[in-house]
Amino acid sequence: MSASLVKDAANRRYHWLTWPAMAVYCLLVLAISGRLGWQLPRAGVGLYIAAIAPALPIGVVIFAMGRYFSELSDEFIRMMKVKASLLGLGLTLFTCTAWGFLAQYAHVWASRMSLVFVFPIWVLWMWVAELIVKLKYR
Amino acid sequence: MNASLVKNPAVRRYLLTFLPSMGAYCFLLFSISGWFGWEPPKSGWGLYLAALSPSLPIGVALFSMGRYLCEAPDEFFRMIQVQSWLFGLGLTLFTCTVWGFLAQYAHVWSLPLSLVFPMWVFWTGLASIFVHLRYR
Repeated sequence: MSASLVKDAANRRYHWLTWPAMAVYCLLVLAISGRLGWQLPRAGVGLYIAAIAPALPIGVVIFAMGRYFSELSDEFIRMMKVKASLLGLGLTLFTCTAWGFLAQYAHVWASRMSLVFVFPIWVLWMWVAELIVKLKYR
Repeated sequence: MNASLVKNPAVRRYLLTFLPSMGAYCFLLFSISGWFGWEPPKSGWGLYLAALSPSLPIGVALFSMGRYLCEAPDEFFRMIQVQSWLFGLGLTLFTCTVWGFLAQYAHVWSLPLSLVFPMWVFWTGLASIFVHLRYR
């Protein structure tokens, strides 16, 4: 990442929100998985709150991304980011549909598939899409 | 949809790709579910091809939506669509994460991954109402 990008206020705000949120996410996933010596409640509201907890930092990351897009001062960079996001969206929806049907009808990784992976799948495809978009406008 | 919209070549091209692909999707989904009296193979390549088949028309539908967005002549309409899609994306990703963790740790019913596309369509539809209201 170039120095000029880090100096950009929108980019700085994005990173200041995203990295702490991802750290909280990791901490919460480790906590509810029992890796930090804490056990998940067996039932009741506590169980649901604990289960939902790691999704909240992801919500913060999604919000940070949305705010970053709207605050970007460079129209060209914004257009490239939006294109990459939408291309990533299309690829994610296709991947999820294909994988979902394979799991449902051919029982491929049926027990391992979780909706939790949709966000990482999108991030992965968005990176690929960003490369494609950058190559296109080089 | 009004007549002037259908006369637009971008809209016509979109409808001519999107609607048949959704028809094919329904047909293939019903077929592999055994509604037409046909049973998918129990194993081998045939099973995987049959399982994957309904996702191909979804790919075509997604392609037609993307092409429509690129070809739409009205800049304002395109901006509204992009905003709705991005809001729909954010809401879908958040819903999936919440639901996924609930299914994994609180053992609530897990939504199949194949329903992520309809979920995005739902959230985008809802988001487009708010985006339209914002720019009214």
